[in-house]
Amino acid sequence: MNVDPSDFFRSTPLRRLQAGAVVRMGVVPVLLVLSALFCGNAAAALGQGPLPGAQAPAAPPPLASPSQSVWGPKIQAASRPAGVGYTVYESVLESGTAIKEYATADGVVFAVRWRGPVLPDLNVLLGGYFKAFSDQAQQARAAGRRGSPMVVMTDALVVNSAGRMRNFAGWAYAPGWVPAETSIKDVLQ
Amino acid sequence: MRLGGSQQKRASKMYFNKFGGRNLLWATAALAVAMLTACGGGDSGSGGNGGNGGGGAGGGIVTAPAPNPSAAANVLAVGVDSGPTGNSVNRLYTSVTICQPGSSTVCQTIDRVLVDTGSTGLRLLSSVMASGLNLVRLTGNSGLPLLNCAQFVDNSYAWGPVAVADILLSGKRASSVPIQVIAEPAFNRLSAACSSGDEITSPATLDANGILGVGYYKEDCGAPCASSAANGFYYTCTGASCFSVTRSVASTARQLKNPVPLFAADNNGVLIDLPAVGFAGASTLAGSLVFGIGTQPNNQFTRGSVLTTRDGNFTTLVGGRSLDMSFIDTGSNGLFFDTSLLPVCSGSSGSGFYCPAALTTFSATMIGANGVSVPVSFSVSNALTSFSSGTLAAIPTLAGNILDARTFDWGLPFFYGRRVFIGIEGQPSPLGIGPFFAF
Repeated sequence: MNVDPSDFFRSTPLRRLQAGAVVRMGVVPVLLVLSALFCGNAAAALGQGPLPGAQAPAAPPPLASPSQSVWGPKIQAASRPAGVGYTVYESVLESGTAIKEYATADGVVFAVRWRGPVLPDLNVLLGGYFKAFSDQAQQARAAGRRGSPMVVMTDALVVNSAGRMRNFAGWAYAPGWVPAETSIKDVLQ
Repeated sequence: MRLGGSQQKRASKMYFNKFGGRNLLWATAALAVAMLTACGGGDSGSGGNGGNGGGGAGGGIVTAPAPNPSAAANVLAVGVDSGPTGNSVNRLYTSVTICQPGSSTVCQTIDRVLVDTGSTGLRLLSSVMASGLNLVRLTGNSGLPLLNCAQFVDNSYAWGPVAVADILLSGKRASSVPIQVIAEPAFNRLSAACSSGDEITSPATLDANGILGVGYYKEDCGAPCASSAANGFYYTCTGASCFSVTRSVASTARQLKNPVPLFAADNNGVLIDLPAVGFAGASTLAGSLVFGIGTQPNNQFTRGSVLTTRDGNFTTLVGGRSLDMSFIDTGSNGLFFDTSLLPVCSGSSGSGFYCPAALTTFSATMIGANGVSVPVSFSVSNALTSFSSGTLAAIPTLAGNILDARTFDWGLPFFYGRRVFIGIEGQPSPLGIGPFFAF
């Protein structure tokens, strides 16, 4: 790709919550949400962000509405911690892996965390940033880093993925989308 | 545009998942109604469907080798060398013999199998398995082949059917054990949930011919896979030709297993006994994987401490930090932790390793869930300098960065110069019931 990465990531959120996609794409996501409700991990197919250049969602997502999580039926809580400008969506995949998504007021997911027995589908969770993660992982393995935690540390994306079979934990955030008043350290601690 | 690069990469792979990337949204949308009833994931590959059940032959069928009379039956030789690629570092290998269940004549010995205490079960590349083995495949509840997905934290994964074999390790035999045949061509329809990373397809991509998972777990998944199909480990074909796959439950009997607790004796844990390596490193290293804890004269725990874990984790104190999700893992090839005292190597050739100007020594303390604490000293050297020799395969001072303040991944360098006992879950031993680490 000959796209300037900095331009690309400036225009690309980590991902948007499903509510934004519903507004933009109408009936298709409704079907997807239905399938998610019945199929659980099939919801893993839902997390693709909007097309490049898509407009921001028309309205912020309401809180605590399970079908509006990209993770479908297992969302357990949505909360807005006191004094912060973001919303935390907590869900548990059917595999048992817990997910936290941190979204700005207008529905942009700027950070995610996971912990559990299986890795979540990082292609879904990282959206358009997955390729940067995948490229870094390939480079690290080629450099001899094997069976070992994966780290990405760039201006556009920061990832830490650690653990081993039956016990994975990690987080990722897009620095450019972290709300100005938010300390990412506080978010991820 | 944003996913185009990813799709190009995947298209170059043999196991092309045509529903990858952005197309997944629209493909899934088209299938959404069908998924309401099928819930199958709808994965469908376009790759060739060649190959027979056994894959390519990397070695011939042999009679099971007689145990070495001069070696104890519970001692398996293990070692570190430059591996199948010639570039491996801190990878612990052994040879594994598999046989048709009950047979001592239809067997194959496969070398350079990675000894991994961070995963569970035996996984062998289809391409190195002799077709004459004709191992029986396990089936899911549907009666169709059972498939396994093993995710690794380095964004690679192993996919393939579950077969049944006897596993011979030195003089020990585990009978009729489910194993994974990695990347068998006849089962190249992947689950999207498994395949977002890079598929392990060859000795070069695995940096080994297989993986022998002998940690503290008995199965690769355990109870969750016995009760839920959405478990992330097990899948089954949706038809006889396996053009697509769906999620599947797998009873613990059908799951991949640590072979050690299946032995008739010496089955409560393992001892990994590797010699010390000087700071200069070594091109090869020979050691032992000893079966049993306190069951034979050669596996007595004579000094040290026993650390219990919480979900396999303990706490490491280092640099004023308390890292409560620390673990020990032969399958990680360095010491991975976060410190501001060490610079990360520059350039892609040192990706993620530390490159201090001089050997830097740290003092850490491990604290088990049982409150037992053990001081551990370790040193870190310049990874690129070590790599530049081109011949060092055992580098005790290799360390790399991670970003979180909760994890210390004590990889293979931790094992150099130690006798590390790993107690298997639920198995009684003189040191207690597993899981635990003792050294």
